[in-house]
Amino acid sequence: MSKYKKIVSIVKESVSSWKSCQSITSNLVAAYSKAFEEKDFRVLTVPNAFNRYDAYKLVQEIKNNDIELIIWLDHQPNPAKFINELVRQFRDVDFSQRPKLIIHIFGDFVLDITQWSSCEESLQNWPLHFITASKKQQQLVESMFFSKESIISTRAFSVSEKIFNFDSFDTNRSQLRQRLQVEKNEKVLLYTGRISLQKNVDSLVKLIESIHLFSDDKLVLLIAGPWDDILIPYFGKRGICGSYFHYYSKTMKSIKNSKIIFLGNQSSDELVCLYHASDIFVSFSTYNDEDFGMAPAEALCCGLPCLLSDWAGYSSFIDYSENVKLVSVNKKTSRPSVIAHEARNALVGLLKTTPYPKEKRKKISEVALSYLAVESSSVEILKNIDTLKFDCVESFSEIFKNLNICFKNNPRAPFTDKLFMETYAIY
Amino acid sequence: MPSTDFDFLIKKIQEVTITPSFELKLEDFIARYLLNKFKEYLSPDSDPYFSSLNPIFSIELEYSPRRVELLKVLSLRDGVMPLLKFFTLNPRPKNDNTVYIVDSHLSSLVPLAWRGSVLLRSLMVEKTKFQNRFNQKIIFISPSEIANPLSMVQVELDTLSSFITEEDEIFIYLSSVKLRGSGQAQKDEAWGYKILQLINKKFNKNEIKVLNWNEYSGLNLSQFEYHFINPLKYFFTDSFLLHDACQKGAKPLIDIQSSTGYLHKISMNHGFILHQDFKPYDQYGNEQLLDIIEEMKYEKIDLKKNEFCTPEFSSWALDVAKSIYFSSAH
Repeated sequence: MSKYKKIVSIVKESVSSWKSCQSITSNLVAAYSKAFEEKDFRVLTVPNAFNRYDAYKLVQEIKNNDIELIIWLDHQPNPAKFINELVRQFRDVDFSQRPKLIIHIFGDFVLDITQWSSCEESLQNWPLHFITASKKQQQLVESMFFSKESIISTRAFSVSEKIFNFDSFDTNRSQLRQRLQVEKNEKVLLYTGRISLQKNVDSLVKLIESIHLFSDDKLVLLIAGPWDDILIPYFGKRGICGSYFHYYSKTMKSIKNSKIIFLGNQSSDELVCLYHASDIFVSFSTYNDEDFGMAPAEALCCGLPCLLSDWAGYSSFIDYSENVKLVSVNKKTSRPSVIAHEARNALVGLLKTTPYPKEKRKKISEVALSYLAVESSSVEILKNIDTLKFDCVESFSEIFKNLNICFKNNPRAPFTDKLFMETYAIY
Repeated sequence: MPSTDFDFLIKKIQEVTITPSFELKLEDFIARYLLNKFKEYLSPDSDPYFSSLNPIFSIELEYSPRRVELLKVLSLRDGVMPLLKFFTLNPRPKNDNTVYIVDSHLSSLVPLAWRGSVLLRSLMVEKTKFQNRFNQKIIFISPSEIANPLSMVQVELDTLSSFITEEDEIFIYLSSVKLRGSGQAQKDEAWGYKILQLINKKFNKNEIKVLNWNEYSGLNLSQFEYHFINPLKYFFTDSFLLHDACQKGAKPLIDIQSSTGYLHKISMNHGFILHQDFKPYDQYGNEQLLDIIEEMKYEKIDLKKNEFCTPEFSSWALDVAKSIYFSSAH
């Protein structure tokens, strides 16, 4: 039983426009609600356009209710204004008596650097703990903030076990493969997620096209997700509706031997069918802020082995399953990508052992859920909450300061190649 | 004389698509504040989207004639009024090198002297892979008293009612309200509520949700069927919202009549079919009217008041738009 009696979590009142964050936030709320179901635990919401007055009201509510633990659960709005207001209203309260603040870090940590900078002084005056979603993200944040105590830890984002599980595997697999007219001897590779430049879907397609020279297996590549024209905003490359599809069309012109099916954006239920029907989940994403990877997490929970780029949050997945194979990434560039021959060899190797028998798939699902399910997360939260260390940030690194200057000077293209490689060297 | 060879024009399109560029900076060509006003007035329908066919409004060419020289293919997003104005100001093409693309609904507006340089575009949307019918419907309406008279919206809603069941959930997005200029916006305020009255009356058994931009952006449109209410096509024929919805997987609520021609894809789910099935040219006026039009084209207009053409030209364009509407399959 936790020592904390009065706990609040804070989320944005409207659903995030970023699809993965929709499920991340709702699963976090579910996990904390379950962990603290015997406590005075409430979820408070804040508006999208969170201003200083909203922060004032929120802190007043926390003060008036003697809250002991605050958990900032959402990626937006950034908690900077809130932290500043906490310090302002609690300035007469001893540091050790102030409510503890846990902040979950999402993929937009670097993007929000100017906001973190706007509460530098407050970060140095409040008992904080940051929770990142993966080990490499933890290292990234540790490269920005320094403190006496170890106030940054990692806990994977949760997956809803009610949706992503092994139930109805046989039915889903046979029905979907029939609908998609997949032949019995065809092996199905699956990519789910945004179809965008940094997700390297075009590289994946080129790999599949070349694989027939190295493997006799007949393959089908399913691609399910929305088209995304984000391109690489950190370097000022911004697309408009249709930009990435146009870039991708060049790749498609050279694809002659492969069976590739685009399925568009799919609902969670349809994704489960896809995970069951497929034989390998593949993603070579080198998206600059791939803090975790909900798609591979959901795939594993549905019993699907994964072939992933050894990049950022993806690298952590070997901790949640022995059926995750990582492919090295060429990082000596501001446009990292998987090393092609390694990717090919890894895929050929995996193809030799797939499709996995049902029992093995079930085991993959069970092991993954034991780490990633909401229920498992709630148990871990309760186990660790009293041992988390809280302290203020003592100082900020040169990288943090440089990033802040670059984002302020040139918000539309803040990165140089050098700064990008310095910042994301850890990934 | 420009060639009338369809294959010759398509070859020009294909040459452009081989060398695409992300860096097509529309902003480079937009020089003037008044030009932006036009696009702001119609936002988000007028928001840019990427295509190697270079979608623009002809009004942009008035202020950047160099674009015609630099861009070999121009897909005009114009509705009746700006297109009529374009052809009035330019009775024949300035050069033989540029291919112009015009919406096929407005083919009767293309003068004979232009037809060798013009291709028509018709929308194509891929059929869905799984479901045949979605219960969620999204209706886009541009809330402009001129472009969408209430009486015509009523007709559109009557047509729609045969495609919508009581179980369907209807989402309404009133576009072109993101930013409104002065003057006409005041007249439009009541229009929006009146439209909703009509919709409520027509679909009183359905659940209806009116969306703002953020809510629209958060929808998973792959589970939707869409319909655009833009019967007169007065301001525009090619809306950003159409491409956004189609790229995200939305399917048309009412089947689109297929055309034959050259398919140019804009996304995995949709594209344009380019062809030259022109309707007979119509001057939409006798010689006396055309004399007045000839004089009007030299008159100054006040874009600050959101007057994109003289009131007389606007009235004439509205009659032309109605004429095209009533002579079509409706």
